[in-house]
Amino acid sequence: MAGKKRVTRQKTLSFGDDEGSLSLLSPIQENSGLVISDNILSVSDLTKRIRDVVDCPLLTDIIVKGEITGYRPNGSGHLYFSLTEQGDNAASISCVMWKYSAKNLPFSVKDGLLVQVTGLVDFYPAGGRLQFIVKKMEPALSGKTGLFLLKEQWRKELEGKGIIPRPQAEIRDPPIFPKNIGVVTSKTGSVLQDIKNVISRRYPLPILLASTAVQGDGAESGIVSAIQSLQDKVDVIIVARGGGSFEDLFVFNHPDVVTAIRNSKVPIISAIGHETDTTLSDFAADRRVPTPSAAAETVVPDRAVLLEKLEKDRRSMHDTVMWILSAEQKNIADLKRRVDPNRLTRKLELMHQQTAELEERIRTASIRRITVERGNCRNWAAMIQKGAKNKITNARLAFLTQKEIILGRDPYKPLELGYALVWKDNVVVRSVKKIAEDDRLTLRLADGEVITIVESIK
Amino acid sequence: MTEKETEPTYEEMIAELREIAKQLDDPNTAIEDAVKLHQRGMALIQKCETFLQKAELTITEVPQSSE
Repeated sequence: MAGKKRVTRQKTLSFGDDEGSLSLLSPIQENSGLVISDNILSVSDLTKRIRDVVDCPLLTDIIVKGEITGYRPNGSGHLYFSLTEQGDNAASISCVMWKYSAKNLPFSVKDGLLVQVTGLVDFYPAGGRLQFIVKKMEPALSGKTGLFLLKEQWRKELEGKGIIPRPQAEIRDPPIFPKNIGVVTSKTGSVLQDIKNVISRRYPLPILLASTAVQGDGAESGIVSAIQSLQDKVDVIIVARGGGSFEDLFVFNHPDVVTAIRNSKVPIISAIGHETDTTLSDFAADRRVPTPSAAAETVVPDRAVLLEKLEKDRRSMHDTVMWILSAEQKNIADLKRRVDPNRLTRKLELMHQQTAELEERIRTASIRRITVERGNCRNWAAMIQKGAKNKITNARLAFLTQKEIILGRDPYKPLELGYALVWKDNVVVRSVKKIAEDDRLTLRLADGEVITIVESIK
Repeated sequence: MTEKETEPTYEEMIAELREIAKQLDDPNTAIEDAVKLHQRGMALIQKCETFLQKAELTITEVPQSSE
């Protein structure tokens, strides 16, 4: 990698006393003047050497904390800024975060933001500067703003994975009468005492305590294993922590804790901090309550209320049965009265009386009817008799009249005046044309017949 | 109503009481049955009360697997 150009004079370069660290460079001669030597480097050679030097584990895959300054938004999507340390050890380094690393950044970069970045140091030959290539950026863990940004980052990650919020359909109601309760909280402190007090007052039952630190470094793994240790052992779990600052409660935003709550097979009640505090755990739990006491009240019914209700049930059941029995007694008394023999006799008498009355009514009505009919008959008879008499008289008169008429029309009557009827072969002869000579004719006279022979016709 | 040997849970007893109350309210329930239901109901209420009065709070610490 040595320079190829030869010079007669060598430029002296001094890097202090530490020659070991300069082993890549050629030996240096004092007062060499403008000497062309084999050891003279081109700029690109130098920059190459610098790149080789910085490509070492000490400067690769390192995490640096600092404040963002000189941020220059760029249309290309790459982020250019400096990471700066203020104060006595003021220092600064140029940084670049390539587009593909920056695309999922859950917060927006701005000057003054305290961040911790992971990446490597590189030398940019064209610009002639050392710069830090940022692969990953997170808000620095110190400072509330940083924590807040980290919480937002976690929220986005957890939402992206579908861990929070717990879907409405997957929200489970804790059992109304649990057999036991799991509590994840600190062994010391008032939280456990509060829960114990409420449960012993309302509905005493076994509590399984999975004690764990609820704040500070590494608390998340304690909380996670506490939740896991209670699975299959309890009917419901309370994850509780007393009030505290945003930082105190911060572990309940940790993705491991949130995921463990979301994956719990047992319904989980989240009671972290005070009512105004919200942690990401609240969104993964089946129910969120403002305080540990409220959590205890949520998971158990009130024994006093239950006893009162039982007493009410007892009274109501008793009253119902008493009512049924008294109704039945009434029913029996009623039946008894209905099958009483006197009652039957009375009923028979009544029936007799009714029959007698009916009989009388029928008899009277029949007699009245017969009398009427008889009168009618009599009238009819009189009328018929009278009618018949008239009819006979009329008929006789008619007969006599008819007789007169019939008598008047007697064909033999005129014979009495001297006329004769002429018959030939039983046929009345009305013309001489019907007669021939020697015909035998019968002449009918009023008092007898004459048989004659025709002599001549004129 | 359950034929189980094990003691019914409070929840099961309450469910049975609810059923008994329903049957008692039903005018079609035979009176013999009503009397039996009443007896069973009273016994269950007694059991529930005893259960509630005898309930005890205990705290057991669960050892954690990974610590």
